[in-house]
Amino acid sequence: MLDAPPGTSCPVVETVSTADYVVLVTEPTPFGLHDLKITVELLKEIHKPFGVVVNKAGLGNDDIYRFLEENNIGLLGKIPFSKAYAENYSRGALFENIPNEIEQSYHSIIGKLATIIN
Amino acid sequence: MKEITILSGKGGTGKTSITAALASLATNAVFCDNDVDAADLHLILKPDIKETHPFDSGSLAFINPEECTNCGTCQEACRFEAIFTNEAGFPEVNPYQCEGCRLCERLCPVGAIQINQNLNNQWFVSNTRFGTMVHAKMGPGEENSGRLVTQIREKAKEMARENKAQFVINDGPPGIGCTAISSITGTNAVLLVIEPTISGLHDAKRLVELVNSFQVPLYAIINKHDINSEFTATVERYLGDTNIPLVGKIPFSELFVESMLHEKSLVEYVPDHPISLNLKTIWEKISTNQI
Repeated sequence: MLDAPPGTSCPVVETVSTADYVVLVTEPTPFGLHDLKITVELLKEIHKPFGVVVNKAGLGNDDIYRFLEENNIGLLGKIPFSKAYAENYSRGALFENIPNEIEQSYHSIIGKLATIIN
Repeated sequence: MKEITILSGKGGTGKTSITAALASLATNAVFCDNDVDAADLHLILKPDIKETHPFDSGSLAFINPEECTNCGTCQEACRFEAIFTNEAGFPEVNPYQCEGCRLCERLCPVGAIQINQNLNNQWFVSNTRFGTMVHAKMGPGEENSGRLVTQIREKAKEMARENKAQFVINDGPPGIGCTAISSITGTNAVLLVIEPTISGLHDAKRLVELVNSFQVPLYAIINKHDINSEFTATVERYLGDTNIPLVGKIPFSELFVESMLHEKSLVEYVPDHPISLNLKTIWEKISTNQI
């Protein structure tokens, strides 16, 4: 698993160039959607299969889901926004007291990914 | 004229939202989006483009299939592994990998390789409701984004001189790579937006190191301070120890996203909200040199 940098510049291209599958993580806001579109453009150009995880779901609006549908892009899952979990993150404690909803989302994403990749 | 660059190290700390808020408060400024890889400031500032300029981001090799004898010399010599064998069995250049070094052009025994300028990027001078904006659009995977930042910053300063503007406000990129470096060199001050998270402080420290190497003065804002007040205290201690003035603390608020949905800065969207008043105080401190 490669943790890629933000943007679509040279280090991103280098990171995804040998990957078999790319997971795009976005958020349902105008900034999230705009930057997602640029990355989708890049991955289409270099013929990489990919799917999208919407993080902080519940914030913003539904434009992102409409974009995914209209462009036939697979939604791997949504991770709900939780201020309590953001506090966990701030302490670097991502594996402590994971809210049930969030844990379920991760399980479902991993399940989908396993099916796609196998 | 004073140039202020907003940076964070870590992405997602609120640079663009804060830049947009300051843009709506600054009465006499030029704005420049230095995050050319994933520019977002235009989503709020809604620029009306007045000038479009091509940006030459470098050279790209092209192998003419009619002249190529398939000797394999270029493929062997390319240290960027940018030349692959295509379906027809001939060498072809992958434009995303090609760095434009021109080695293949020199080595090709039959002169089948030509070098083209890559003009897949553009930059713009625009009008916005807050003043002039200079920004750019890079094609995905393009090179030399640092040079593009330098170019648009130059133009922003030129426009500021022309408009007799007091400030140039640069919305910086995340990270500490080429574009961040190009955003820092020669700027008058860096406004650091830190979120009180372990990764936020870690990345901010790396950025501070970089900014210090250019001897540019730093100020800081702690954004989303109430996500972890204990860690906010840690960040404040760090700022104190390194003599970086803290100009303000902003709480987490969904109003930032909400105002973004309305294509407005938070200050425009809810002008009398405590966060807007807080941002006004911050801008006052920065613009009147109280720090």
